[in-house]
Amino acid sequence: METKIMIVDDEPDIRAAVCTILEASGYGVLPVESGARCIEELEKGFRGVILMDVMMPEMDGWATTKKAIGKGLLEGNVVAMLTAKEDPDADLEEVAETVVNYIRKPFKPDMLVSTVGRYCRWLERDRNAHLAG
Amino acid sequence: MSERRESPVTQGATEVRSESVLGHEGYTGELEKALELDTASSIDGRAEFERRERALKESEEKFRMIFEHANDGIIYLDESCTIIDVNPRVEEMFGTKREDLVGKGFSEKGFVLPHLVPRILSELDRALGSGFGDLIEIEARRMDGSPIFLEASLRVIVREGGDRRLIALLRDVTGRNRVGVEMQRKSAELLAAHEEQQNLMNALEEQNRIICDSQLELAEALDRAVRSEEEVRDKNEQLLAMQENLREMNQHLEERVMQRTSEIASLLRQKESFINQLAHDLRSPLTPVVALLPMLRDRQSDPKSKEIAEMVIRNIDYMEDLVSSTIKLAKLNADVKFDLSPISIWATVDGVLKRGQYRFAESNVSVENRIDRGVMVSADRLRLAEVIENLATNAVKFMPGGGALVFDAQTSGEFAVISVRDTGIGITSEQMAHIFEEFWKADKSRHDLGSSGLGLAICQRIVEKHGGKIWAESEGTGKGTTFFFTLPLHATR
Repeated sequence: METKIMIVDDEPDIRAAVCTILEASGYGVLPVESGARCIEELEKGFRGVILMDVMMPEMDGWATTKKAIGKGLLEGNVVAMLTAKEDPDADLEEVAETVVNYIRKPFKPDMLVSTVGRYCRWLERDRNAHLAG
Repeated sequence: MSERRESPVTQGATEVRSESVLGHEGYTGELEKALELDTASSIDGRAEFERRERALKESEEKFRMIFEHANDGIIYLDESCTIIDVNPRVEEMFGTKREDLVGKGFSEKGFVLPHLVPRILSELDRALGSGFGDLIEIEARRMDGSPIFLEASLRVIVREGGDRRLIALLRDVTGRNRVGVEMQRKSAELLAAHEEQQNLMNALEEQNRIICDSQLELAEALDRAVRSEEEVRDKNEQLLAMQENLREMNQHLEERVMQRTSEIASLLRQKESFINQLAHDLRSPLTPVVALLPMLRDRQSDPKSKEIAEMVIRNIDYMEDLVSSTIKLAKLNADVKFDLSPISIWATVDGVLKRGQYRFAESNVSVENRIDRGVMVSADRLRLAEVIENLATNAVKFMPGGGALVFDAQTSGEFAVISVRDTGIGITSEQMAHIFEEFWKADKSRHDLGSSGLGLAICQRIVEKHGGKIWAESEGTGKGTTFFFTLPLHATR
């Protein structure tokens, strides 16, 4: 099963929940517990949908995203922010092209599956376009 | 011979002469000499007799002269105090005639003051007993009634044959006595004056007493005045002290109120912050629960277990709604900026009604949008939709058996007044006071998991942040409720 989803969250239960739901729908999920680990995996060549928690210790979701952009690691990736806040509170200009959505915690499993499915299809299309191009 | 002589003086003189043995000297000296001569020459015949006669005549003449011209009054009385004779001086003294007095008792004519009569009588008795009386003072009245003061001396003469006669010599001492009278008068005057003075003194004393009393009264009044002034001053001081106390208390209270106000403001901030933090903190643990429960439910083959899972999911969903609404309200309470734009209320309501059409149908609620399409307000699109959504949801909730929901709008001045009328259970006036309070729920929805108790509170925040007002009207239980809210009209020019 191709791993297309990475969940970046310092909460193990949330990582487990996301994995459980998405795996049940046939997705391969890579759970990581920090921004640093996320960068590591990206450097190892991960490509797919990244579900990025905003509030994390040491390096939060925004910092991780910016760093990844800075390293050119987000080419061919889709990033969706997971947030417990009502509104995203960061300056979104820098990450606007990369971050496609905000998923508010707590989320319903149906919604998560359908959203992730949508992103995957985009990536698929992109890849096919690349391959065609 | 002597009987022949009618003159009492002559007669008297004769008798005096015959009574001279009693030793009365003075008047009788000459008479004795004459008698001796008479005795000595009796032997000679007629010449002698004539000579004696002449001598007697001369003597009589002498005594008559004395009797008639004496400066003192002479009264000759018999033993029974009947007047035998008086001399002219007596006539003078009493202003009466000899004829009126002779043959009368000494007090008969009323010359002597009646109260003196007994004393005179006793003096006469004494004189008759001892031969002569004391010099006595007698107050008498003249014929004309004027007073006359007399000094009287009495002398008893025993005649031949033992008859006794009284000679009273009276001296007028009125002049001398006048001094006494004057003194008496003066004395009386003095007495009167004294009395008058006494009266005057008494009057003065009385006046003095009155003045004293008045002074006392005045002093008392003054004292009272002073006392009342003191009382007033005391009261004033008390009042001032009380005022000062009140001022201090007031100041203290103001300080307390300010302190309390800032404490309350601080507590409110803490509350907001706490609720917000709590809501946020609940979101993370809720995430795996909300995410995984449907899967757990779907994996149950036992219907009872499925039912249990459903119940848990309902409660978790409610908890999630509560958390979301709380965070929303906290944001509204904080200083949030609205994205104002011209918005058609009709279109907003229409959108809400279309999105909820299945829900309304399920609840057997008919909806109607009567709002004029031309009414444009200046509002935040999403917030306005939220208000309408909340009011619609609220209305459906309180029409348990179904009913009608009507939206309408009027313009009033610079505002649009939007109304949301239902045919539900209505609101009592008691409930009316609480419906916009945070977390307040009507008893019927107390355990309703579809309600957070924050819907109307959120509506109120949103409307007020737009500068509008929100309120409800109900004619009572079972008669439906109408919610009104105002929003500023969009200025077309």
